[in-house]
Amino acid sequence: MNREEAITAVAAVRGDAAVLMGPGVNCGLLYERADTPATIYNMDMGYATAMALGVALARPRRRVLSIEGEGSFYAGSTVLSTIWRMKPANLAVLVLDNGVWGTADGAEPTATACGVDLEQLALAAGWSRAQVHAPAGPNELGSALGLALAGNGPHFIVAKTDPATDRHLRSTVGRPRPKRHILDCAVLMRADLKRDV
Amino acid sequence: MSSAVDPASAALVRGAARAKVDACVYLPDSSLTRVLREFQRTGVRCIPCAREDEGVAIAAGLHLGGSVPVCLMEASGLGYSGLILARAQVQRTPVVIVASHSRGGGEAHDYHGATILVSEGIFSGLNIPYEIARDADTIEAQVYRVIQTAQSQLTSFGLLVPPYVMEGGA
Repeated sequence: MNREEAITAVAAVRGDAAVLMGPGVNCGLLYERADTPATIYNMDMGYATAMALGVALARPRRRVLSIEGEGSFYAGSTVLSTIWRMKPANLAVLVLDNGVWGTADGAEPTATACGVDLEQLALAAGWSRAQVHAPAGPNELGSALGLALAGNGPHFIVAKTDPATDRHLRSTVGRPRPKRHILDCAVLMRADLKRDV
Repeated sequence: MSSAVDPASAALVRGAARAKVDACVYLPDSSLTRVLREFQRTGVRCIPCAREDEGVAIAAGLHLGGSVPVCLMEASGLGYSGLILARAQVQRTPVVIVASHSRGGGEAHDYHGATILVSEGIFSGLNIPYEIARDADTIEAQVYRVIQTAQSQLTSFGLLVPPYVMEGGA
């Protein structure tokens, strides 16, 4: 599975879920496929999932999905313990793990390429096995996301993607980017979430 | 330290309640322990975090969802929180931070030196307004006004609390 296939799987199931995304190409790919007002793009590294936790706690009737690359997620991975303490049933966390930083020349390995296992990290933070998922391809990812967004969360999904088949990794030219300012994203998300009151 | 409520802690929480605060994201701190216990006693949702910058991000998310949160922390945690506070300012998701220690009087311990230096440095560097609490008699109105301004102006806002304010004397 490459990154575009993974984001296409997300786009197929997100519906009206509030989505908060870490930095990088994933944002542009989702913007092109399934943009909605309840989307925060390019959250600064390490914070998309923590912010998603806040949204999930404030809006328990709205499904909330955090999407980060493994570099960003690992930088803020203490949030795994906080999510498990709070156990919001409406929160799912998706980490797309290609083992390289999605910046510069796309060739710098991340921690997961050097031994870090994010599934094990979640289990070590106390998560139960049933809430941690590792889909192997786009169909499995779609199924895992469908399950995760159906409730009974929190859910933590780690999906490996193949950097060798990622056309956006080695050049910044032509990378898709959201065409909405991050201020507008926040204003739109807050307004959209008010519909749930 | 006793967790019995003191006048300043009770007043701070009353001010927060007047401002409709419904959530408190926190990392434990000696000076603010009784504030936390008072938030818990009064039924405010309290969310422990693992790092202060994580807590600021959670609070920004709570605001996006329509909640009115405050963050409680030792001011040292502001040192971790520069980037996420900057993001909160750029996207206008205000985070009110009540943090212990300040550059004012009443600091007894050398090991709070870096804490003192970083807190006002972060607020000043990001042009985030902040005030320093002075005493139990004025803190209720002060915290209410801080939150009022944060919510109306969509700006983060800091309230630094010297240890003597919470402990009832220098």
